[in-house]
Amino acid sequence: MKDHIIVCPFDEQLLAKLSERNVVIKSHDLNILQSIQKHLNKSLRLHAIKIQTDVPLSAISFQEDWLKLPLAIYSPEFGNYRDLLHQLNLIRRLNIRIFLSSEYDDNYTGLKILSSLNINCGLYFNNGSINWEAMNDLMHYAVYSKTKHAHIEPFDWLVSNYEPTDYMDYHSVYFNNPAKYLHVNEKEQIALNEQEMLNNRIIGDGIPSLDRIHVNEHYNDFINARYDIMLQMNECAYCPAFRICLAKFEHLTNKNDTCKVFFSDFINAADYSFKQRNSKRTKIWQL
Amino acid sequence: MAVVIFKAIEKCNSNCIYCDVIKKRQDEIMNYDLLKLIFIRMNEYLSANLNENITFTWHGGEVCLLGSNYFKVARQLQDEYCSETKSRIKHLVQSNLTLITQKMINLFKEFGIAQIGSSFDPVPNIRGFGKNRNSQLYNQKFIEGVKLLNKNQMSWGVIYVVHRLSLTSPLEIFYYLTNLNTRSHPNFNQVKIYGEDTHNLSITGEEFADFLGAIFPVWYENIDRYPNVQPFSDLLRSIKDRDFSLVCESSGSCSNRWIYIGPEGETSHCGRSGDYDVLLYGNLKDFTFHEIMNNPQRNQLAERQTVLPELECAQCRFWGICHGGCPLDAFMTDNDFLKKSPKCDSTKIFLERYFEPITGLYADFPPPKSISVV
Repeated sequence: MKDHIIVCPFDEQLLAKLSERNVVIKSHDLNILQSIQKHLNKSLRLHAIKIQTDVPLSAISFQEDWLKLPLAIYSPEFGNYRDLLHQLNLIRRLNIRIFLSSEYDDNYTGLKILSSLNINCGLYFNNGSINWEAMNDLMHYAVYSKTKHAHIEPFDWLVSNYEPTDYMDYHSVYFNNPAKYLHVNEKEQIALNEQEMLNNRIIGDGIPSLDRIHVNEHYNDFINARYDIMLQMNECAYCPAFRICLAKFEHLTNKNDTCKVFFSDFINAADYSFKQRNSKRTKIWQL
Repeated sequence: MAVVIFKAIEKCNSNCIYCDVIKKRQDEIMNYDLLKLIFIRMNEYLSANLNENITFTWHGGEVCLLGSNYFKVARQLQDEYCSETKSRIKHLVQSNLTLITQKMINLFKEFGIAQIGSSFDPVPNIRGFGKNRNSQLYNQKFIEGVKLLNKNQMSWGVIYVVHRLSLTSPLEIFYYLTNLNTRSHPNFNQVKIYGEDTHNLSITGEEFADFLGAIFPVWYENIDRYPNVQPFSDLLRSIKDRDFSLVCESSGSCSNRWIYIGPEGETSHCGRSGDYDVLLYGNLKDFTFHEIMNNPQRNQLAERQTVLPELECAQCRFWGICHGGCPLDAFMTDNDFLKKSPKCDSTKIFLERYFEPITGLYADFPPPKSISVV
């Protein structure tokens, strides 16, 4: 089975071995885009390129020759709006999603601005703190606002893919849901997500072992990890929003004022959107 | 459709606090000769009734204690003795899942079984192994069973028995159970304790109604998320859509449809009557399905449907969704099948206090005779 999308570094030898698979190339270096651009003509099934940069968004020099690339740019902060202003026309023409860190309060406003400028964007969570109230506000804007705006992730992904009776893993947005994405390094070692790779928790070796991943014990344990939460009978097991959060903030001590409020509102928004999608609206008579 | 509740074994590996089966004939397992006779009897019945089907429910005790070979033999017996009628036998399984194996699942699949009914309780030490009801180990084994079912793309659902310890946290229990399985949602039943309430678990009808009432607004607001929670779904379908396909205890039509078969071939009306040793219809060795299905004792169950509307249930606007409730409940409380079920209280309270004000719907299904009076 070659149904997983492989997240890997830009390594020509590795990519040659992954030619039958869809790949996400990840890097910390924006300059790598030039090399990937050259590689594009070869047998590369490129799903996306994820660039995690330390540079503020406004300091990135967006390029015309990125137009053909499916980009996910992760930047820690929005930066200076005025610096970004002159690049807006180009950014809007790019095939891009811009992600900002949840760590800085200004980013919540920054994402609202990007979205209102019709630039697809999103929030990413690193080890920093989350402003739950601001995130909730942003989610409400993303889902309920009637004003024309571009998608804000992970809200739009979850709301668009939401099936009320399914578990949903919004880490798909970050290429970190092992049911859909697997991470492979230059040594062809396989990990379940980015963090697992960083922690050197390798579950398989060699590209051929990707085809046997469904019988991999670690893979199946991870896929079934939600049951461990249920067995622990901790707060997450009793949360109304468990099915869309899957205990990703289990470590928080005060869930009642943080994740529980946010995810309860989020699942309600997803339900609202689901109903809207499936409602039988009156079709107005035609002129 | 005939419904067979088949308890080849009454032994269970669990010691659930509210269970009566555990007190019964622990060591009997139906032998293969009797098992063969069941399939012969079913074939006789189906051959004589060409429009009939049988729902054959493997129940216990814990059915997995039978071991996979037992199901293999049953499959062979069905193939041999019901070769022409087996397509009209639908198998169901009720299991606590703690002993289920891949071999058993393979055999269940051969029987066409795609889902398994189970039970679960997040409240500690209600369901569990051994004298102290080790629920931690029980839950682990249950989840292992669930994972195996998921791997085999078999669905499963749980019954939740509401007892005194559940009353403090209805919503938490609801969320837990719907988080445990997002697709098949729980069926809430009131605990039934007819003997001594050693563990103080018994609850009143009003307490049960209030338990349901604490969950109902959340359920009604989010039906897409929790589509099939019982008894809510059935009540809504009945009252809103006037679709009265009701569960056995509310249907008023169980009198000539159900057969219980125990490990020694003894028969009774249903699983509950078998547990309580009432409505005993004789041994399968001595009677055909037709004879058992038409045992004269069943008449009093049918009679309820004419007696109750004249007496206790006269002009009751909930009749059409209740039909006097489970006759066994009435008998265990009043020693009389011609009384309404005591569960009537909880149904009425729940509907009047919660269901109707929240939904804006009004149940108006009096017995036919009352309609003519009006």
